[in-house]
Amino acid sequence: MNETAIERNGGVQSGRPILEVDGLVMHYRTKAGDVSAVEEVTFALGRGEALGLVGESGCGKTSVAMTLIRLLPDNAIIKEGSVVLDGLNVAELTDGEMRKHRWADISMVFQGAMNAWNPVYKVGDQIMEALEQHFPDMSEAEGRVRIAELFELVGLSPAMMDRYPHEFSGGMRQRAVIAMALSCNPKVIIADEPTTALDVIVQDQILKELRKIQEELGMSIIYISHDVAVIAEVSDRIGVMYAGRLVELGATDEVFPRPRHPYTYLLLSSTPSVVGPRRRLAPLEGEPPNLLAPPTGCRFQPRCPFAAEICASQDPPSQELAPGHHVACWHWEQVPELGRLEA
Amino acid sequence: MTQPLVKVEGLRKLYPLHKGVFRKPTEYIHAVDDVSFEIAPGESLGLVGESGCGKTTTGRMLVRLTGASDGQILLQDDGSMIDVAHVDRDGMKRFRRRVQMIFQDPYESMNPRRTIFDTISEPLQVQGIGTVAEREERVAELLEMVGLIPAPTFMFRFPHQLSGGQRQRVAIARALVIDPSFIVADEPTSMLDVGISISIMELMLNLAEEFDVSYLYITHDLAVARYMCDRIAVMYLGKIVEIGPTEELLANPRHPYTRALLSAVPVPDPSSVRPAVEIEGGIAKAVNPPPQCRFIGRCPWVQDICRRRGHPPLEDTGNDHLVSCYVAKESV
Ligand SMILES: Nc1ncnc2c1ncn2[C@@H]1O[C@H](COP(=O)(O)OP(=O)(O)OP(=O)(O)O)[C@@H](O)[C@H]1O
Ligand SMILES: Nc1ncnc2c1ncn2[C@@H]1O[C@H](COP(=O)(O)OP(=O)(O)OP(=O)(O)O)[C@@H](O)[C@H]1O
Ligand SMILES: [Mg+2]
Ligand SMILES: [Mg+2]
Repeated sequence: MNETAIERNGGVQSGRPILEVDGLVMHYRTKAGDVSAVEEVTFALGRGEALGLVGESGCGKTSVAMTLIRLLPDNAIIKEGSVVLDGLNVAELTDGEMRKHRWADISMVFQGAMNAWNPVYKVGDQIMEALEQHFPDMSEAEGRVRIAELFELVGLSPAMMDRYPHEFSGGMRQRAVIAMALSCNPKVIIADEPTTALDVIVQDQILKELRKIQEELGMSIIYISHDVAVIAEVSDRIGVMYAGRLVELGATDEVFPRPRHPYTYLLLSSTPSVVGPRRRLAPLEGEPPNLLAPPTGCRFQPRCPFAAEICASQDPPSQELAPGHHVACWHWEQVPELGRLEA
Repeated sequence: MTQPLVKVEGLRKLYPLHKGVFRKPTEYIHAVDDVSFEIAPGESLGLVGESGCGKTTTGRMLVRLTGASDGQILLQDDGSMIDVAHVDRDGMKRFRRRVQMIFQDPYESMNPRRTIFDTISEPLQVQGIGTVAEREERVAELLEMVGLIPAPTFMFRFPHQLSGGQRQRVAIARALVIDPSFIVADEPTSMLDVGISISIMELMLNLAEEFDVSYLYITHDLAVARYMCDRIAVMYLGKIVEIGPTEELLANPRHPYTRALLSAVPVPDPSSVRPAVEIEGGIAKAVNPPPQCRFIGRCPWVQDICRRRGHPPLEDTGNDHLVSCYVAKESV
């Protein structure tokens, strides 16, 4: 897979994006009404690119991911929009067709994947099953070699493949899930909070490894995290979600020093740190939005320090401020400079 | 010093590695190996360390979900220290009321077929506290405290109808519902964004200040430990290798492992360059470990003395700051 990497930009190759998401709207139907979890989300993922998705708990990050890989619960409905994976409209595939592409073309490290393992089978055997499905010609011995390699990659002793999930610590289970997601060399990996249960040294190592594999194989990754610092380190571009909407999207080294959406600004300026003076941090004022009855106009307006009349009545459209830097805010000009984050 | 709320002495947990069904195990995973510490009323002790070093196992032993292989766990009750391994049935019910655990994996405390209300109010039911209406009120109050607002829209959902972080907050609400005096919190906010995790830490800190609630706060995030904990204990392969007051330990980390941990923390600024992490992430395993220092295989400082002698004892370097390292001790 060593195409002469055309015009590389931190591992990003040009050409048609591997994944294009356009005007996606997804709701969950509940007795109390519709939960508006994904609202008009549009973005593209370049080949070999790492895109980070951040946003507060419950804003719809996992919902976007599950829509892309088509693993939605029964009460979910895709109301509008399209998801095109390498030229293929995912939304139009039958379940059977989608199954062929899942894991081999697009795979996912599930959030809380720690308990995704079946307790009665050895962890190695569970990965073997995925391998067998996609590489029917692979012998068992070859499979074991492959699993051993993957285990070493994520910092697990290969001997662990013959153990049961309950014998793994939380972080070890999470690492095994990462090995599983990598096993079939997918074109796109969605990593939903892949390192939440891991200490920083292992996290550092896994993120570097993922970066390396990604660059070598030209794989594309969507990282989902609530941890802005992790996203800053691993992503070429960052997308910020608030209450089901993508409110800001742009290159990481543009958005971080100069966020244009008030929510991004507040998110970045409230991150705790081990360096610098110890301070009591101010949580974002106000209440998280109720997605059963989202605020009118801009969804962030009830908590926004810059909110004016128009914000409550009209939803701000997404504007492209500079090439590739999109923001949905009526008052982006008022958002002050962050400069170097006072860490 | 006031009497501690919790006192742990020489705690150990060995897991046998079975080679065959009928063969006697010859190898053991030393998941927790001779761990001792105290936690004062209202104090929060942070437990940090790499994946697989024994944090969860330590926590589970403290709440009696896993039996200890050796050692003692004492809990203060009305001024006297009782050994939690030897309480009778009544004592056990009392223990369950006073000691709670927030699990690393929120599913562990949830039955997928029970609503959020049932899940959170279960400890009240078990203890026979309150009428149904009172329980509903209490649950609604807690849901709001953990930011699941408006509470009525969450109460009668099922766990799979919540996001990951929302489930984690349900697990927190459940642990707080009966006003326990000691909580083992295992990565309680690992899935939560800063905003909400700060409000939850504030909530927990307030409980500590007002009601003297104590915590064993397990986390891999040093910034979180700094915010939340009065003291921090650093664990490596089943051993506590360094323990001390939070600011003192972060300002003067003595153990090479603690230093490496600190240098690996990502900084929320893409233009800053972190110093390289000095040690390699390991696949170190605690299977029948050799008698020397547990860190010897990855230590950048190894000296002769480390090879000749057993695992170094935890020794006071002043300021209540203890470290278990022959070389670090020299440099003080
Ligand atoms: N099956 C479901 N039925 C109804 N509502 C749901 C369902 N799954 C999720 N939700 C709701 O949809 C919203 C978005 O959830 P999602 O899991 O996408 O959030 P998230 O951004 O991944 O959050 P977190 O960081 O906490 O994991 C949440 O408010 C959640 O309560
Ligand atoms: N039931 C068990 N049987 C066998 N080994 C176990 C069992 N539970 C834990 N272990 C082993 O004990 C060690 C410590 O596990 P523990 O879960 O306490 O780690 P941890 O510090 O909580 O890690 P993490 O940060 O990944 O959650 C690990 O090597 C693990 O594989
Ligand atoms: Mg999620
Ligand atoms: Mg654990």
